[in-house]
Amino acid sequence: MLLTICTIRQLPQAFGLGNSLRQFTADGKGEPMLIGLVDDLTHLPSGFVSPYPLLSIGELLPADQISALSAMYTPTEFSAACKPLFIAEAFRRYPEADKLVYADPNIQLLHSLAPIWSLLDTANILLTPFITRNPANGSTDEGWPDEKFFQNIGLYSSDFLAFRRSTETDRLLDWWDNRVRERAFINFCEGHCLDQLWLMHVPVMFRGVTIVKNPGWHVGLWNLHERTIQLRENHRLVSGPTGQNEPLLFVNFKGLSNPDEGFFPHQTRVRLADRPEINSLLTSYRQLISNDLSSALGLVNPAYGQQPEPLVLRGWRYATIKSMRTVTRFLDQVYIPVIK
Amino acid sequence: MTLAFTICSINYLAQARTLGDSLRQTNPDYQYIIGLVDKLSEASLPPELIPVYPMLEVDKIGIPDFSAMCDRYDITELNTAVKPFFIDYFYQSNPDATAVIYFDPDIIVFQPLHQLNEALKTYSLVLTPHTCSPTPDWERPNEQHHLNTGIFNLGFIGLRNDTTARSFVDWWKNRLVYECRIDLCKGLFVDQHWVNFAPVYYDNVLIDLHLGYNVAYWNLHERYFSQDETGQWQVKSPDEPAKYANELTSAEPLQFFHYSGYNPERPNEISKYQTRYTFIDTTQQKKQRPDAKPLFDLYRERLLANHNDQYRQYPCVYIKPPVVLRYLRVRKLLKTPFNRAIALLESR
Repeated sequence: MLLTICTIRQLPQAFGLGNSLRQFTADGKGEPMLIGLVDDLTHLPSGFVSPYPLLSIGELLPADQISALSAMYTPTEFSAACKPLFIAEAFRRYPEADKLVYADPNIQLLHSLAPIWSLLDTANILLTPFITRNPANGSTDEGWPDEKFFQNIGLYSSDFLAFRRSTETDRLLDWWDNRVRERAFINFCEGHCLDQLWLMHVPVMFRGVTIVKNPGWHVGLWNLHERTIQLRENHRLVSGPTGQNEPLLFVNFKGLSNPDEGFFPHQTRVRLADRPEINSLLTSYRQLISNDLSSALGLVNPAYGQQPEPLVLRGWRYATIKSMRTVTRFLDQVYIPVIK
Repeated sequence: MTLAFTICSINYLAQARTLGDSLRQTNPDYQYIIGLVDKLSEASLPPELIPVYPMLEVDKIGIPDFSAMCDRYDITELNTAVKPFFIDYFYQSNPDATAVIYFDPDIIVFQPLHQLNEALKTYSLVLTPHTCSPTPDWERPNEQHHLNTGIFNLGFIGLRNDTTARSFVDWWKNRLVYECRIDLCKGLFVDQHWVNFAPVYYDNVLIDLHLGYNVAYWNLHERYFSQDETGQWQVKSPDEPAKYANELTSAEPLQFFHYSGYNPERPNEISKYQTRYTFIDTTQQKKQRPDAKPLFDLYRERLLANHNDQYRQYPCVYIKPPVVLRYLRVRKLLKTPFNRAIALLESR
C-alpha cells in the first residue's frame, strides 16, 4: 500500500501522487492509497469529497497532545513528528497489506511499484540517500549544498521509505515515534533535523535495512547534478554514479515545483534552464496536480504547527544578509592586539 | 601481512606501548607502528622511555603543506586529521600490507582478531558503530550526540588494501585538509563525522555489530562483562530489554576495549565524557557497573608499568597557545547594527 502525509493545502499534490499510482496498477486491482492528514478535518471546504481515504491526526492522538505538539513545532516539524505514528496506524488499518511505501506528497510515481515490492521480499526497510557521490567538482568547488550540509540534515531522505510488515519494522516504528515526538525540531547545532536525521541510526540499529542507490529511485533537486534522464521508446531511463539506464521509478518535486520548499532553496548545483528533460517532467507534474479544487484547498492554512516557518529570502535581501554575516564573523574572530 | 598502527604524541606513549604489548601478545603476526605527532629530536627521551615498537614521525610522511595544517588546527584536530595520511603512507610504503588497521592508543586488544582478519579478506572497510542499539536514557552520551559527531567511532577502522579503500582514503584525506574541525552547527566533527558517508558512497563496507569490538563508555548499556573459567573476558548483552537483541544474548569474547576519557589518576571514574554510569555508587544515584571495574584496573596497572607518569610530562611540540579572544564587549557592540539589520531583513 501507499501512504502519504500532508496538510489540507497539500492535498492536490497528494491526489497527484495517488493518481500516478493508479496509472501503474494493472487490471484495476488497485493498490490501497491512504492520506494521513496533519490538519483539522473541519477546515476542509464544504462539500469536499476526497478521492482517497483520509485519516486525520485527530483520530490518532488526543486533542491535548495535538495542541502540545502544535505549540512547540512549525507545520513542517509537526508533520515530521507524526510520521511514524501514521505508518504504524496504516499497518494496523490494512491488515492485508504486508508492504508499505511512505511517499512525500511532492512525489510522482513514473513506474509501477513492482521493483520496490520485490526488494521488500528480503529487506525489512528501504532507505534512499540524498547523494551517492561527493558532489564537489575539484578542490576549489564552491557549489552548494556541500557534503557537510547533508551531515546536518541526514544522509537518508525521509521523503521516501518502504517497509515490510515484520517485528523489526515494528521495533523501528516504536523507537522512531518515541524520538520524533519530542525531537523533530530543525536545529543543526543540537543535532536535530525533523524525523530525518534520526534515520542515520537505522542501518546500524535495525536488521534487514537496504540502502538503495539505484539512480532511477528518488530523483530530486539534490541529486540531479549526478543523474541524467533519457527518453527511449517512451521509457525514461536514468544514469548516475551507481548505475546506467535504470528505469525512472519516481521523482520528488520538492523544491522544483515550489522553489521555496525543502532544504535547498539556495542550491547552486543544478540550472534548470540547462535541463530540458526536467522541465518536461515538471510540466506534466504541474498538470497532474492541478484540478478544480487546487485553488480552494491552497487557501487553507495548516491548523497545526504554531511556530513560524523560517522565511526563505532571495535577491538583495539574501545577498545583504550573507555579506553582513561575513562581517560579524570577522568581528568575532579578528585578532585585536592588547592595548596597554 | 597486516599492519596495525596508532597515532599519538609523546605524552600518550604509555597508552601506545600498552596497545602494542597487547597486540604482540594476541596478534603477533601484525606489524605494529606508532605514528607520532611529535618530534623525538626535541624530546630526547631517556632509553627506558624509548618503545620497542617502530615510531614514525608525522613530519616524515610527506603530508603536503603540513606546516599550514599545523597552523590551522588545534592539537585534537591535528592528531585526527593525519589519520588517512598515515594510512595512505602505509599503502605506498608497504605494498605487501594486505590490510591496515587503525586503533586509538587508549585501546587494548584481548584476543586474536580472527574474525576481523577474515572480514578484511572480503570487505574494503570495517567500521564499528558507537552503539548497536538505542541508548536507554538522555544521559551523556546518547543517540543525539552521535547524530552530531558521527555514527561510527573512529578510534578503530580496518581497511583492506584495495581500490575501494584507497579511493575512500583519498576522499577522506581531501576532506581533512581544511575541514577536520569541531563545528557541530556546520556538520563538522574532526575526522569522525565524515565517515558517515562511507556506507553511502561505497558498497563494500562492513558495519560490524560484534559486541566485543570497540567496547567503550558509549556502549556500556548494551554490553556486560564477565570472565570465563580460563580467565578470558566475555561480553554479553543485558537480559533486559531482550526484545532489542534476541540474537545477541549469548556471550562473545571481548576483542578490544577502548578506554576513552579514562584517567589512571582517577581510578573510580569510567570516563570524563560520560554521565550514565559509575563503578560503585554508595549513594545509589547512578547506575552501577562493578562488572567493568576489573577491566579498568587492569588497564591502569599496565599504563603505570609503562611509565605513564613520566610520559605525561612531555609537552607536544605541535601544541599552540590557546587562542584567547579579547574585547568581547567591544566586538559585541560593533556587531549590534549588523545583527539588528539581519533581524529586520529576516522578519516578515
